[in-house]
Amino acid sequence: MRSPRSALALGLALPGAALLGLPLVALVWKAPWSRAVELLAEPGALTALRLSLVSSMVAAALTVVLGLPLAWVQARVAYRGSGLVRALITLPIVLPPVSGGVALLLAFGRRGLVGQWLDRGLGLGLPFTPAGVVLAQTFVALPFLVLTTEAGLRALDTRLEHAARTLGASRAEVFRRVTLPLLAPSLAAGAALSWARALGEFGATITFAGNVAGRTQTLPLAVFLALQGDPESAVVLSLVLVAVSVAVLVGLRRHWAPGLVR
Amino acid sequence: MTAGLSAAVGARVGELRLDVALDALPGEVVAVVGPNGAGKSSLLRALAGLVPLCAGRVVMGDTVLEDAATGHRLAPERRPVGVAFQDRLLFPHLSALDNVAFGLRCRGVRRAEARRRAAEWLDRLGVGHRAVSRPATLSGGEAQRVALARALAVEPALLLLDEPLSALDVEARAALRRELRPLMAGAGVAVLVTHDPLEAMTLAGRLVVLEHGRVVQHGTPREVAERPRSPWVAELVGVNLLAGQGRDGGVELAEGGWLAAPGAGRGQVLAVVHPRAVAVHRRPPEGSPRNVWTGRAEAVELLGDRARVRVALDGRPPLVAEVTPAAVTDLALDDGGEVWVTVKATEVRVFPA
Amino acid sequence: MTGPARPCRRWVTLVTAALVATGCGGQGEPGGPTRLVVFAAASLTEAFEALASDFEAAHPGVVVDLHLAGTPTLVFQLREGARAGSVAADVVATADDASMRDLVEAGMVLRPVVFARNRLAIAVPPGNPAGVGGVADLGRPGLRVALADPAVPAGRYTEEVLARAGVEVHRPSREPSVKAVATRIELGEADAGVVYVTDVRAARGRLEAVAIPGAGVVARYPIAVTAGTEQRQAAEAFVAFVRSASGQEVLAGAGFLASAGEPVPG
Repeated sequence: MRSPRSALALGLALPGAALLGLPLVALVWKAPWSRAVELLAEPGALTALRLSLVSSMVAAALTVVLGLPLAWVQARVAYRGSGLVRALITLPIVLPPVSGGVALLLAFGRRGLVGQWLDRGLGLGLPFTPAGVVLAQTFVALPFLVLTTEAGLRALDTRLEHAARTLGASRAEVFRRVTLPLLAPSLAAGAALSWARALGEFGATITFAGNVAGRTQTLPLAVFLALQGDPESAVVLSLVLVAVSVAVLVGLRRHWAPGLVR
Repeated sequence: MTAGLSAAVGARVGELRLDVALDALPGEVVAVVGPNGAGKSSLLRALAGLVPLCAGRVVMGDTVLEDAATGHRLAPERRPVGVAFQDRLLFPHLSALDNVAFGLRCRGVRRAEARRRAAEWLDRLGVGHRAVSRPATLSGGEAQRVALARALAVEPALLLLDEPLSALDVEARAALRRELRPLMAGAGVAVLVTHDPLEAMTLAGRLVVLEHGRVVQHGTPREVAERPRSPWVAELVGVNLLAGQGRDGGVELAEGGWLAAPGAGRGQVLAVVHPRAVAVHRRPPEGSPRNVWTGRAEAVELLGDRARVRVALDGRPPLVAEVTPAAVTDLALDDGGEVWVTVKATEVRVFPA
Repeated sequence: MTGPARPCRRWVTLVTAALVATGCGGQGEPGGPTRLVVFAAASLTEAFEALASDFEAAHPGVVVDLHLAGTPTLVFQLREGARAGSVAADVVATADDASMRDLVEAGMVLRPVVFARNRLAIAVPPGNPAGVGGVADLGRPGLRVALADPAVPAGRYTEEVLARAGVEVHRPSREPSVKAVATRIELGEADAGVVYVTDVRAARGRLEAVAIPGAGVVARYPIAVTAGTEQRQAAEAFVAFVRSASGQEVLAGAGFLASAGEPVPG
């Protein structure tokens, strides 16, 4: 028999859960299951799915490479302007993705600040290429990795690192054998979040990288365009996105949400 | 040059200024004692290299670990030290075995060999059966033993122990104390920080008393116990310590009153009165003892087969008396009523301050 | 009523009045302006903005609320509106016959009529840096091409042109609207693309056109009054204005081809 207090707590939590759950239920309920297989078998759909998975994984890996040093500096080094850098880190979350895409174009587009040198000097263009997709995804996903990892670093007991040094570990060894293993859960959680964000990224991708089938048309872009011509296809593709995300996040929950695993 | 520790530590830790000279021969165990905030842990951390010196020099054997004058400084990982911390600080992600093997692996020992030696050390400390457990699952006592094993396993020239037995209950502490003695008798120098007098007395060959970052007294445990130089040390060794001006036949106490004590020289002196020499009566005592005072019993502490009674005396500093538990009841000492206290003059030891 | 309660009452009255005022739009309210909602395909942007302001100038008391989007989006919104039991627009102008036919079948519009035609052209950045000479050049490997997605009429027309010329474009970027194609080329991200001639005209020098020779595919733009409109008079007046000489002049000025005003084939 539930106590009245936990019943109250459940009641208060219900609206939030409903907000998250109802659209998902509607998606599954109204899906055109009879046409599902036919729609999924379309080559464009599978290509878009593969591109989405590969690019989001690469982007997540990039966020770790770029974000870990940044998180370290923010957590461990006191320097002037760290507040400004923190604002910078939070920027992609606040910025509407399309605006992010526009900004990326102005920086890395063929006529952009940096992009023009890439184009003229190396013949390297980022828009219209999978690399451009990865760039757009990394841009929007980086804050998630940095903020989570920074919190993890701050929570770490630095005295353990001192103990390791007295036992003979060099700074590099301390990082490798003590800091990193203890940081792993936060890092994994950050990577999972950043991957999820990268997978769902649309506005910056379509604005910066364009919509080239097989090269920059990720699943979210395919959904958007499908909505124009064949809404049922859009529903099925959305379900695929949901299913993939849920599968990966639930499958990896032991690593990124250890508190949740019984 | 002796192959021991020669340290002159001048350092700033927060508000505290540390100014300590510490020497030890190989095989010696030095206990650093003192009240909270005296700088004991900071001293250990400075020796380990975790706190930089602003003045002074630390030399271990032939190696200069640190020299503030030249700016030479060996990083902690390059020093021949092994530290057991007050909070244990075991690595939560490693098993007890791997914790102990950590130091060995950092020094280049191969994994299998390191684990073997680590297992031996765990056995020596009586926790071999917990080798595969994670620190979170260990009891306080077990964790303390693993932490000690971890420091001992690297066979350091300088072993630094910060309150190694503090988290244990009385029995466990006694047991581990006994086991620790032979283990610490290695070839190196051991510096032990403790606030437990019994630990200091039984494990150490020498005592260094720290107060406010400075050494106020040092010597063998016996020397320190017989001639405590500060109230804290007196408390530590469990005697009454009174300061005053020596006169013929006695001491004029700084806090008021006269203490008859033959052989008291002139000048500033310290007088030690062991609690056993303090007798407590409910009625004015017979005979003619030279030191008789009135007062009120304030606090009674039962310690097994003894009892300690703190008596507040009129117009003079209080004294701690040691009586039998039966006497506490017989004399009804806990009713706060008036009592008489006597001290035989011959049982007062006076020495120059 | 006690002291403190009186100001509270005044606030309530004020807030209620404000809500009522904003809630009731100008729709059909005597004394307020008539609001005419016009849905128009993206390629009609510049032309219809001019037509709307001209119409408002000629008809004081009418405000034209112009909604521009890709034709499929307009159709979708009309459909959703109908499902909800409200009317999303009073007038709708699409970029192709097929979409209008769907609306007729759904009973959502009355008697559509073609009011303009458009032609496709290849757009390039000023100076034609990639040296695109014709449709055949679009198939050059390495050329960055932007095309409208076949989901929108411009995309379908483009596919027809390319099919007829037997050209296969190498990895084009499919944009959600023809305006997005133009933007891509203007930004320099694409070397060439296929848009309407009107889009090149609207770009005012930021784009250059390379003509598509031959008859080319001609886009037809029908316009109709919606079945459920509550502003039938104003809506019909707008349609008439678009088809009138002055309306046609505006369209011609934007680069549209005239139409014979034929009804949409059923």
